[in-house]
Amino acid sequence: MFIKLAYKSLLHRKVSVLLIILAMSVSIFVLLGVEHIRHQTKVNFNNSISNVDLIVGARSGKLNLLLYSVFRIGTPTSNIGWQSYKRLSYHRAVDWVIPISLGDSHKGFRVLGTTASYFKHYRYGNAQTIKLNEGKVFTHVLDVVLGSKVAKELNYEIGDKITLSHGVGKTSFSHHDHLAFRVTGIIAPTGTPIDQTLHVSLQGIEAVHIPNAHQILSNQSTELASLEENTLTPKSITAAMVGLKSRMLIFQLQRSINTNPTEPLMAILPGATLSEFWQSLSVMENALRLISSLIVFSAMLGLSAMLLTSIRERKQEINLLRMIGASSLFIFYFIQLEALFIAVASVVVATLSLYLSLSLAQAFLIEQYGLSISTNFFTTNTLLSIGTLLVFSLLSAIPASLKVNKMNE
Amino acid sequence: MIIRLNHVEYSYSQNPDKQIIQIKNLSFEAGKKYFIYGPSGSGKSTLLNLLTGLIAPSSGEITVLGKQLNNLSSRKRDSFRAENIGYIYQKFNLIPYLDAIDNIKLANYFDKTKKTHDIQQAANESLNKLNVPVADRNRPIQQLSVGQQQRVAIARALINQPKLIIADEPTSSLDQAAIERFMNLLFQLCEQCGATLIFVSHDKSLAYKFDCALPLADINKVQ
Repeated sequence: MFIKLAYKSLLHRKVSVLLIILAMSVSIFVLLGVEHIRHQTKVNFNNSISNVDLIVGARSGKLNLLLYSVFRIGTPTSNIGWQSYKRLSYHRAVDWVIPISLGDSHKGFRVLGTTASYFKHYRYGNAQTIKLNEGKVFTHVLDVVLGSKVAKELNYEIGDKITLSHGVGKTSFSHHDHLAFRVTGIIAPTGTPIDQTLHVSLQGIEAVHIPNAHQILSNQSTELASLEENTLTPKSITAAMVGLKSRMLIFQLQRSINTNPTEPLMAILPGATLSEFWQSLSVMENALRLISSLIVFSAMLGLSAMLLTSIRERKQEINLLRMIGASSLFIFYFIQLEALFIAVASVVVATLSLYLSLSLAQAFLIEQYGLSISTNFFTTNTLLSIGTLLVFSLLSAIPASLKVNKMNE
Repeated sequence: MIIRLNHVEYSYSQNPDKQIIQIKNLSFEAGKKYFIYGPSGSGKSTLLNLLTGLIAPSSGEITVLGKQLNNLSSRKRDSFRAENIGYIYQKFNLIPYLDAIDNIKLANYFDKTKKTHDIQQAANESLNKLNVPVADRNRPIQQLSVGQQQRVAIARALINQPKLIIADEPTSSLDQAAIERFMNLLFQLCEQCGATLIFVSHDKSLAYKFDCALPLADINKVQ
């Protein structure tokens, strides 16, 4: 009877109740949405790199090195010499090295020069390996392996011929169109920057940058395995990702790279640098959180005001309830239950519409930003926010409940 | 004596100097029908709120059905009211968003001692007695005529078989013919369940029907 009374009473005041539910849903939507996207962006970033122990590059900013080597954001300031790379790969603590060479692009997508080691050792997400959907890894100088988004967006298939452009802008004026690359493989979607990258061999990168590459390539087999040691070997690479035989050696090796006397090099731990990155963004994150909390707070004030005004309008009704035997505590619970109903309805509306919006936006976010956002936003944190919200909605009903008890004085 | 008031005084807590009620001695006999009349502003509602235990007197004793209300906690007074007193207002007698049946059920819900096993049936029987058509029992209260609403209000007031029925200007929104029918019905039902009736009105012309008529000015000696 108690629940029925509260429920019918809300139905009786449909319009104002609906409006307040709407206001609260919007605020809860923003709160949960911001929190979820923030969290998912982190997960996405953290998923981009998994088992690399050190990233080695020219001495510059730590963050800069991480961003351009892993996330293809920004540009490197200088390269590291081929000899340094060689020395690194022969180091006794080093298990494997992935050289990467950046700086070229194809229709706005970045081109990454590397070796077969990349496909063998690079891991993302939960230590997942790079898998090819179609074709195979490059074996010739002029082979290219496409990220899934590149292939999809530009409609490329195995066997298509493409040329690279110098620089990373979408409208590059300097094209390396004397050499055409052949698509040999397409990587399965990873939800990481890999999807937006074209992968070629280091020799391929070198070839497009020297004027007589045509002659060199026409004189011999272009198969990477059969190239002579010094043909098309780059003078430098952009960075190198290193896997160690034992993680115990990370700091020792990092120190020896950072203090390398022959060339100014720098080694970073990707995980640690990423956390520093989040640290530097935390001001903005907190601002976002603050804004969404304020929105929720204002909705709560709205609820409080709405309940208080309704009490004034319902003076007779409450008098009647008291006269037929309702205690003031009953009226108190009655108002609280109404607030709770409104809050629960708002949470339901907000979560449903958030789920719907995320499902609709999912394709767009992957397409435009390479962000794979899951639709499942129910984490302990979300449940905690919802719980807090319900408690606060009960608190916001207190002024109204107190008003009721003063009425019969 | 079903009700006894002894040196009862009441003033609002915000304004303790201005007395609203000051009654030396007042008592009501069980089973009788009382008529109290007086102009509005003479303390009628306050007196009724004191009798029903909705408010407690500033000083003095109020005994209703052998219970000294001024010694009970507000919570106990609330359940006492639900169990023993049927109340009929001038208007706004019923919760507007509940139908007739639910309004009656609600009154029974607050009475913790007499949980009727089949409240649905009891409510229907009561509405049968009061000639409220079956079709109107599950309609929103607002769609019922004023007369029908007052009959549902009687049914609501009687559902817990109260010993005391208090009616606060219940006829002022009815026309002459409806008043006649309403009064007869109320008297008949009070007699059937042996309840004491206290009927408050500003309309003196009704006084002749009652066992006893009291002008409020004689009861309440506020200067």
